[in-house]
Amino acid sequence: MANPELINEVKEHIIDALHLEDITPADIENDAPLFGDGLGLDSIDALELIVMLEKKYGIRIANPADGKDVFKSVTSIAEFVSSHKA
Amino acid sequence: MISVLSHNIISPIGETSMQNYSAVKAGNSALSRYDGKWNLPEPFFASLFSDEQTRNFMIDGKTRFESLAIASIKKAIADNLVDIHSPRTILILSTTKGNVELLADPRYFNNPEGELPGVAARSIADYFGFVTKPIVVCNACISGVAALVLAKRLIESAQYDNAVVCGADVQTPFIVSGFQSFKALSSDNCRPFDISRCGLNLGEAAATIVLSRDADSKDNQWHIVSGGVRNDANHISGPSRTGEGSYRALLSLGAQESDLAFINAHGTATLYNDEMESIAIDRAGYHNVIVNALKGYYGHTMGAAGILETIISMCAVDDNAVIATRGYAEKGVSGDICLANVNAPTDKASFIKLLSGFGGCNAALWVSKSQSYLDRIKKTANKKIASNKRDAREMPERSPYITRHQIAVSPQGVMLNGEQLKTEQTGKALLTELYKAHVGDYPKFYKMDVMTRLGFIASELLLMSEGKERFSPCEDRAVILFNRTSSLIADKLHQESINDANAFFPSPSVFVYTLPNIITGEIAIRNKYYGETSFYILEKFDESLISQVLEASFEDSHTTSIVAGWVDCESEDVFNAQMYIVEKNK
Amino acid sequence: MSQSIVITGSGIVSAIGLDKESVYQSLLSRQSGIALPAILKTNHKDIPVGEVKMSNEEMKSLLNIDDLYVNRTTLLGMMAVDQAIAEARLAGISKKSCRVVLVSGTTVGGMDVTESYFSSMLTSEDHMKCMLTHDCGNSTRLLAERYNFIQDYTTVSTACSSAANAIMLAANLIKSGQADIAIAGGTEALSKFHLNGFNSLMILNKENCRPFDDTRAGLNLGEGAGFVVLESKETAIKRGADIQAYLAGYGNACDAYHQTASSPDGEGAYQAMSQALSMSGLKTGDIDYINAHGTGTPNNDESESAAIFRLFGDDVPAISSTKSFTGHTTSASGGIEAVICLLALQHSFLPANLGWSNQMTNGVTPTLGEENRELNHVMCNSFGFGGNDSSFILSKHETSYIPTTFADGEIKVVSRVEIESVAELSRIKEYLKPMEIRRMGPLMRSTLLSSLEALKQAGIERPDAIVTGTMLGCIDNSEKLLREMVATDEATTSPTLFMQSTHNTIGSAIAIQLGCHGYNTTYTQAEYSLDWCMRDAELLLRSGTAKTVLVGCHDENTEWYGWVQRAIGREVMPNIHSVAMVLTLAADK
Repeated sequence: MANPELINEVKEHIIDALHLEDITPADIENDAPLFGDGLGLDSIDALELIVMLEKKYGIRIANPADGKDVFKSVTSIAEFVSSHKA
Repeated sequence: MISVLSHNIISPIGETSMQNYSAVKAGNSALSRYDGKWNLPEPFFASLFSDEQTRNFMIDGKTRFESLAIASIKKAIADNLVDIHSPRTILILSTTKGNVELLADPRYFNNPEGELPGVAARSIADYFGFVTKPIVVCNACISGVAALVLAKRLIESAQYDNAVVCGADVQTPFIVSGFQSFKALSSDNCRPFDISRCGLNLGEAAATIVLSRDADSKDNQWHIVSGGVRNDANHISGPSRTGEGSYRALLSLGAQESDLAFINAHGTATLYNDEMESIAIDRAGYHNVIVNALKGYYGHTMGAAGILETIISMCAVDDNAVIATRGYAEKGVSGDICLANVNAPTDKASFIKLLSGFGGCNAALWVSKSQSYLDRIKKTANKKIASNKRDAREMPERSPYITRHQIAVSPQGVMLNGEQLKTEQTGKALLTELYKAHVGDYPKFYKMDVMTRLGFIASELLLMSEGKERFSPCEDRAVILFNRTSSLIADKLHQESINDANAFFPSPSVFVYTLPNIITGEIAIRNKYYGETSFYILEKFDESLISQVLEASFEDSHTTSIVAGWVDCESEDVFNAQMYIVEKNK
Repeated sequence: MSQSIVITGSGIVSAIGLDKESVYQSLLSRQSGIALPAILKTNHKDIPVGEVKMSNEEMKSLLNIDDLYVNRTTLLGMMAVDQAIAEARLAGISKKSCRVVLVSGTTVGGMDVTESYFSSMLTSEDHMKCMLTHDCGNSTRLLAERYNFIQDYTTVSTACSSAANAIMLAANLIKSGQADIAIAGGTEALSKFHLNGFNSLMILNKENCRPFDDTRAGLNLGEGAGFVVLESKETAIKRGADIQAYLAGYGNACDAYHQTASSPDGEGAYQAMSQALSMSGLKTGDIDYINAHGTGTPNNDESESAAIFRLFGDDVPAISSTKSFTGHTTSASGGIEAVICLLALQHSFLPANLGWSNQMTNGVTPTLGEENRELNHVMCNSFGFGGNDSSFILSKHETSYIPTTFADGEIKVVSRVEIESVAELSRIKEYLKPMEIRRMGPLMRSTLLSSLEALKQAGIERPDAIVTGTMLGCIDNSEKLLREMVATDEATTSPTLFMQSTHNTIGSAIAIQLGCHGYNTTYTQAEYSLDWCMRDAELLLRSGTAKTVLVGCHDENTEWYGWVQRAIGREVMPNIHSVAMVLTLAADK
């Protein structure tokens, strides 16, 4: 499990990268889907998240298709980050 | 868009546009009283070049008028922004009387070829090496604005890319005595729009504007936005009481009140002109725009006026200023308009120049500084798109107009639409015979001079043959005529009346016909044509130049047909009229 | 007068040749022009591109230009237009007898010069003069001023379909009698700006692109210019010009799906192709060849295939994407591919689709090239960001095309909304959800607010057409992207910034918001941008193509750009300005 601090940090980075102006970290559920029904993000947001991962954590995703599993939820992103930091 | 590349004014108060503007802004004028000048019996007030100033602009082998025009053009083109030697550059000269002072010399009086305006234009054009043929605009007091309108249209209709438009007139006993005979001159400084105004002052000047097709949208570039010429269809010398022509010319511009820094009026300070203008401006709805006039600084500079006053107005807007009407103190006109005798600030970037003249002609010009992005977008957003005729021009090599009905009148007879008309008389008597046989009910005919009779009777026969209902007012038909000899017969008559100090009897009824455009006014009055009336003088008959001008004339979207042609009178028995009706090719 | 529009001249510069003949030879010999960057000074040395193999200096000396700051887009354009004019024998034509118009498509404009001086211009005014020709309209102006017989000019900027839309406007100007001859096409230089932008969208292939292949992995960017000379058949005959082909039909529709992705069923592409076909009076079976948009991205090729199958059923004509030779020349592609289609008609051959070996599921099967194949009618597709989709048909012979009639009557302004301050933009919340607003810069907000309000006032849910003007486009996002490029040394840039940096992003945002599949285009010609929108809107209304048109002109400014404008003596633009109008044609009197 990713730690709550990292989860919160990821949420803040998401809000910042995607210009989610009126949303606070508390509004985003850890395990709710980010794309589709959840926040309703689209392919450009996925690309922005790839940029975010590279900028904030130095992790590079070369193929956008690989992002699909990573960007399922906040938890999945946090897990991906901590597994790459390790 | 048609852009102003450069300009110049040479007047008794300055040799450059800026010198002139600074003098005007400071309230200066060269108007002063002349007693006994040129041995004229009555004194007069005028703005004249001093002998020294005259010496400064005189050029060997050129007349005073030509030298003055050349001096102004030379300064206007000094920065080489325009290629004078290009076949796409034309010289347009605006003058009412050109070299008329030469007529006082018996050598010219007896052989006036060298005095003619077209010859003067050629002499000026040759000095600079123009390769195209010059056109003289001779539309009485509106000539300056009419010349700018013509230049704009010639460029718009893609016939030229650049035009050097020079307006000039020098004062002479010929002109001063004529205006005196009209009782139109003020005995002191003129007072435009003032309650105590009592006439105009005459002035000398030359002014030049170089126009070009818009190549680069530079900031603060001046553009001629629109221009229109309209006739009162009322009287050849008296302004319309309803300001009909000026009102219609103003409306043709499409300028919004909120865009305008001011309306620079003709404002000659004659009783009737200023009253007429106030009514026209009132009718056009420009109640809140300051109306000013510059005649109190320069007098009436005739052929130069429209160009000179346009330049001063551009300088004023560049300076964010509205120039005071010098001589004005108390409102003396009935129209609801806004007048001022002090300089005022403005933040607007455009103005209207208005002129009116003998022959019932009126001209208005809307001149605007290159609009900021926002102004342009706002204007476009508010533009009215009425009909799809806007840009639809014809296929290449098809004439933009169709000629219908033609008449040729010579001293020997008449050909109407290809058929010889039965006549018995020749020369001047032929015209009277035609009048009696075909018109008969328009006794004004007998007041007209020979050239006007010629044009009048030719137009009557032509319009009768058109077979349309006549005399219902219309604004879509223009009258545009050309010739070579200007108003030579009337000029000589007037000259004869002032040659001898002991037999000094200048007559207003003769003097009025020393403006060749009167004939276009007579036709407009007879037929109630409120449309454009224009008169152009060429060095010689030139079919292609005439067709260029006519094609350009259809750039006025109101004009759908033109009574056009050549009306030239060398003497009472040597004349030639070829007139026709041209219709816009739909 | 008939409305048969003919092509009497053409010119091309591209990665596979500097003129028609060399392009033809490369196509025949299957010689691709795609290689690692040699001229573009980018850090992305591993991304192959289709460069025109000539430096700016070489072009300048060839064209006799000595302006220090002249941009590559303009130079490429001059190279191609010079050829087209020579072929059509336009030199010396009189302005009096012929009104010649130039319609050029570009999106990059002077960005190549701007980006090369950008970091210096952040702190110094030394090279700011280069910004005089930054905006797209200025590239077209410079191009037009090279030829003294061109009377009027404008710039179409609908990203990758710019040149195709330029050709359409040109044809409509001729049909309506507003022009006699039109030089139309597009020009685009490679820039670091859009190379990084496309890279951030992760659609650039690190190898040569493989359009329509099952393993395709993105596109290669290219550069170049392609222009054609259009005129009516009568004018051509009168002038004694050689008729190379007929422009039989054309169509423009909007996918209205996403700024950077095409819809799965290719709705916009389908509508554009159908319109072109129906105007030409041809049947699907008459089309002998399709020059596909075929970028080589998974999304485009799938969507375009779907649209082609919808229109042509099982009987799909021979098809190929010549982007496998030239790279994707973005705004120029419609012009370059028009000239390639002309070559195919003239020399009776099918250009190859390089790099194809694996059949994709639900995808078309492209031709690998064929000589001695008689072609009569060819279709050329160009699809742009924002779903600006266009298609046109070139024919060897005159077809029984459907003529366009232009009705008279007044153009009525049903509603007009103007926005002049940033403060007004907060009202966008009355129209859009926060999730929709979040990515939008001020210009996008102002555009949508004014447009939606104008439509509401007009009582119209969805206009038939959307015509948008802008002088500078999204300079806020462009500047931010340039700053990111400088700050990260081209390492990472934001895809959102790039997506919302093209001029047409604002017009297509309206279409996406409204689900409007109708005609959609964008003009950028300095202060005449709105004039051209109004002219096009008038053509649409009078020709009956649209009953209602949403017209607008939108611009923004930034603090830095305001400084630039002051420094180069240009008017400082307002921080925000939008005007949106709904126009209709008043019923006949």
